[in-house]
Amino acid sequence: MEKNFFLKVVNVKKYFPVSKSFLIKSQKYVKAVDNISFSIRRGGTLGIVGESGSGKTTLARVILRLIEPTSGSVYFDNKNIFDLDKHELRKLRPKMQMIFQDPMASLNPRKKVKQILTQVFKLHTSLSNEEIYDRVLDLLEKVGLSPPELFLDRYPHELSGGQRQRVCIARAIALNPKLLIADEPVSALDVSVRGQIINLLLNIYRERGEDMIYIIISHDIALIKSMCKDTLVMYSGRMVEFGETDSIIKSPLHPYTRMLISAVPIPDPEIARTKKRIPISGEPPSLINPPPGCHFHPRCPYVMERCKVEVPQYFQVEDRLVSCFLYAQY
Amino acid sequence: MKLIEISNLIVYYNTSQGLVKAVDNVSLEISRGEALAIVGESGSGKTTLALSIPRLLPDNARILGGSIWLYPEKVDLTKLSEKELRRIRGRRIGVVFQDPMTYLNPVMKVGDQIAESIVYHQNCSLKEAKEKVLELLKKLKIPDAENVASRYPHQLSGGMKQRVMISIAISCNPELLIADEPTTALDVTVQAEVLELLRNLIQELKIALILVTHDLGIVAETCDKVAIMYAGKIVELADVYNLYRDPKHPYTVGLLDAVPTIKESESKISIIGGSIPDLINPPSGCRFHPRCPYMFEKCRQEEPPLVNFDKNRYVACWLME
Amino acid sequence: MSSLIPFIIKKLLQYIPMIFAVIIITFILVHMAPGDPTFILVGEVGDEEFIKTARARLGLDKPLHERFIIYLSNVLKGDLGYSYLRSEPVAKLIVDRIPATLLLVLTAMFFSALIGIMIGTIAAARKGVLDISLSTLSLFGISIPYFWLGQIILIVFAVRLGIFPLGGMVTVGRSYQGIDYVLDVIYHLVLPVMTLAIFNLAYTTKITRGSVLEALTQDYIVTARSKGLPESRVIFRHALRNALIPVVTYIGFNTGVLLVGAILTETVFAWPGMGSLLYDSIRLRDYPVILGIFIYGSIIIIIANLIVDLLYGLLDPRIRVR
Ligand SMILES: Nc1ncnc2c1ncn2[C@@H]1O[C@H](COP(=O)(O)OP(=O)(O)O)[C@@H](O)[C@H]1O
Ligand SMILES: Nc1ncnc2c1ncn2[C@@H]1O[C@H](COP(=O)(O)OP(=O)(O)O)[C@@H](O)[C@H]1O
Ligand code: SF4
Ligand SMILES: [Mg+2]
Ligand SMILES: [Mg+2]
Repeated sequence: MEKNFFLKVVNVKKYFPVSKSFLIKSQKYVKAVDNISFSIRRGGTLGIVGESGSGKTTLARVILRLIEPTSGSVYFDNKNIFDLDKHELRKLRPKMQMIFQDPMASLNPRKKVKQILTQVFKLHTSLSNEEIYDRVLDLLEKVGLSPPELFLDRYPHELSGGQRQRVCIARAIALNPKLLIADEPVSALDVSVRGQIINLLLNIYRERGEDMIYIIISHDIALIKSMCKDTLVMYSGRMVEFGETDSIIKSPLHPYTRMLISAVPIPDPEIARTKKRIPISGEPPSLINPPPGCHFHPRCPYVMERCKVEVPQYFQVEDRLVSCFLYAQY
Repeated sequence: MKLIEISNLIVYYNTSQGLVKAVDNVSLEISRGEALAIVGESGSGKTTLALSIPRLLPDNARILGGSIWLYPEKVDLTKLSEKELRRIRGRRIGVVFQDPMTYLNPVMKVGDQIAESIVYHQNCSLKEAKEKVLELLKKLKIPDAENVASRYPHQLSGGMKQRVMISIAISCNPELLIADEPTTALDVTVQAEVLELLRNLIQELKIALILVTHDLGIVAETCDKVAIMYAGKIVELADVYNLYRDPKHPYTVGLLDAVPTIKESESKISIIGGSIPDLINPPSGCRFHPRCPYMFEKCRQEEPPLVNFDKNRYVACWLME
Repeated sequence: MSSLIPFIIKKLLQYIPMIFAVIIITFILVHMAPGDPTFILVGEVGDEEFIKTARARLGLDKPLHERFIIYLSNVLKGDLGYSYLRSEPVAKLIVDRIPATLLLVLTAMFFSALIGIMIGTIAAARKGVLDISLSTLSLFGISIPYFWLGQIILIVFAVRLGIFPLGGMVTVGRSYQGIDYVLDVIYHLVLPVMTLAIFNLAYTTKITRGSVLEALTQDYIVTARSKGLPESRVIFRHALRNALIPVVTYIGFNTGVLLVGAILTETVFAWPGMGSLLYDSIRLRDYPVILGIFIYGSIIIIIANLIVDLLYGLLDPRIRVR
């Protein structure tokens, strides 16, 4: 791995064909990820935020090539991941890891915690059995499952939701990945457990984040604020805004981002009842039949004629990218 | 004006493993025009408490003690017959459930589902009821009301379905609206719309609202009074401003700090260790003691009562002594 | 509903392989069964030469696969052949009998569905003694064989009590007209329908009960109760309406069982339908008629399934064809 590695995503698309019936092959697609580009350097933390169905999970899976892209390229470790053959991809796998929303579904129910974690080392390293055992104990300790001996022989269903997610995290960080994507890592958990897992992820980042790229996917921008320096806002398969998290939250530029931020409830009655609200209307469009032009135009309070026909490109506003014609003069 | 008074309510579930002590000796009051939040993590007994008022609990639930008084006539809802209850459900108490997908009948047009309670409680013909449905939908700012009324639930978006649920609940101008996690299944922007709608309705119709949720954010925007539940008990009951400004119970403090917010000053989150106890064999003494950072000997042995701490403020914690 | 026709055509296309399979299987089974129709026609000890010409006339001298190909090409042309025994076209023989069988089967189906759904719903709604006794009764109904049941009913109601006729479809020797004719047929219909319906009724009861119980655990039932609706409306309008979907499926898919039941019932009550025709034809090895009845039978079952598919869309808006 090069010292100053980076992740560069260029014009990535993922269209799912919609099969209407078994006789007629339709030409319709769900454009789950439509032309997304961004890049992050080593040590960077990126949050991907958007409402359900906006394409976040699909984007993550395409970046890691867990599903095949429709087009575009993803550069990581100076290679285009989309060009790699099976063998090369397998060699890169330990460097790119993902944590999923539903820990139960991503753990093999018939394997003990011990087996789940040992397998990772067996598959990708040539460590001896004793060395592996020590590593596994270390890992469990690190993700807060201590004393580790207590958890080694448990099956996933014998763990609580939070503990399962800890096992998933242990598995993901086992081989010191350079790219770690967490897809809604706490959405399936209870409120207090949620805090515990967020803290764990933050600690891992503090410990080795400088040598890693961290991507957190969430529908909750508050979670992203607590974890990520940069944010990418998705709406209906497209990226609408990209920039520093704090400045996006303080002064959102895209009308959708504004609506989103104004909609986030703040647990403080004084602020909550005095803050200026942006009127919200409508719901996200269907991805099979999205509106023409800017996908947000039917809900947008600033909509112009042009928005209804043309897809806005990215405009640079200071250090931010915004896909909205309001910023066309910049 | 007092509307509902719950006193020493005990609701357990009968299961093959034993009795689940879902609501254990809970007392609460709610007045007309007031919005009360019941907040807690999942499994703390919020739904059980809220649905015991109109007695819409599952078959294996047993109300083993206490009473639920409905004012002004002061009848005990736990003692009423099913037939008497039917005149209260839908007419004086409306309920909005969490998941509009499963709580709406999939094979009935939504307009008919709303009209149904109007026909039953307002003694009018189906035709008149249908007109009222359209008025109602328009009042809830649903565009193209005729069209929506003639659709089936699966043809509507999540937010629209939840609006239909709300119109069922308020169709007969109830005095109390119970909303059980009404926005948990919805996206943030849609949640904001639905909450706005609820707020406007309770102001306009002067009804009491019981909002059940795990999200302290939406409580801050919507409610006047907050009851924090933990493992079947109310651990803190306070006015919304006081609760956020100065939380007293260690669990409330933990809950407020456990979730990240977009508030400018915030960024650090602190955590409550452990997880919710099993309600068949809840911990002795204070049920929160195994997770409490301030726990001392007494907490393990004796249960702290919910005591009036200062005006409108009740806390169940031995630290307050 | 303008796309209903493509939907039906698509369904029918799906059934074509099934019809072929039915023709092949029955052809093989029928011809592999012991016994030779020529012996029945001319007697076991006939003249060699005579038997030979008879076999040639019936086409039985050719090898099996050749006979099959000839038969299949005839069927595709719509020609089911001639009965060996009655020297009438098979198609006509069967078509003449279809109304009687349909009358029996449809009446049994109607009453068993109506009563079964009612009893099943009541059993589900009323837990306790009523439910247990109704469920036991329905279990009983499921386990009685048609043939036996038919004879018991015949003995009790026709022979002992004498309140219903012994068999047939009309009173022999009278030529009733108009309403009298209808009443006479109904009078003859009661016992066979009873025999045929009991199994179906018991089964429908069982399925309905299970399905309604399942529906009663659904979330939308809590919503219905939260409206303060009377329990009867919660059960019939909300639970039963949803529960009907599997029940209708069962009723439709059970048409085949009912047709088999009809054969036995018709035999017991000398009902002049396809069943007694089939019974006679099997006894006398009248191959073309047996095959013809199987083909018609499968077509009836296919139509029943098609009706179920359409009803399904009517009952469940989520899969309605648009
Ligand atoms: N395998 C798939 N086949 C077809 N459509 C899919 C598939 N996976 C996701 N989609 C569709 O792509 C869109 C984006 O989904 P997803 O990436 O899961 O969004 P998010 O993670 O933001 O909720 C959705 O409309 C979803 O239905
Ligand atoms: N029908 C039931 N049978 C048995 N236990 C139940 C039933 N419903 C809920 N419970 C249990 O009762 C407790 C409280 O549940 P609930 O009131 O739904 O909590 P909440 O709404 O706060 O999530 C939980 O432990 C839950 O598992
Ligand atoms: S491009 Fe137009 S419609 Fe889209 S967000 Fe900007 S102003 Fe609104
Ligand atoms: Mg996702
Ligand atoms: Mg609940």
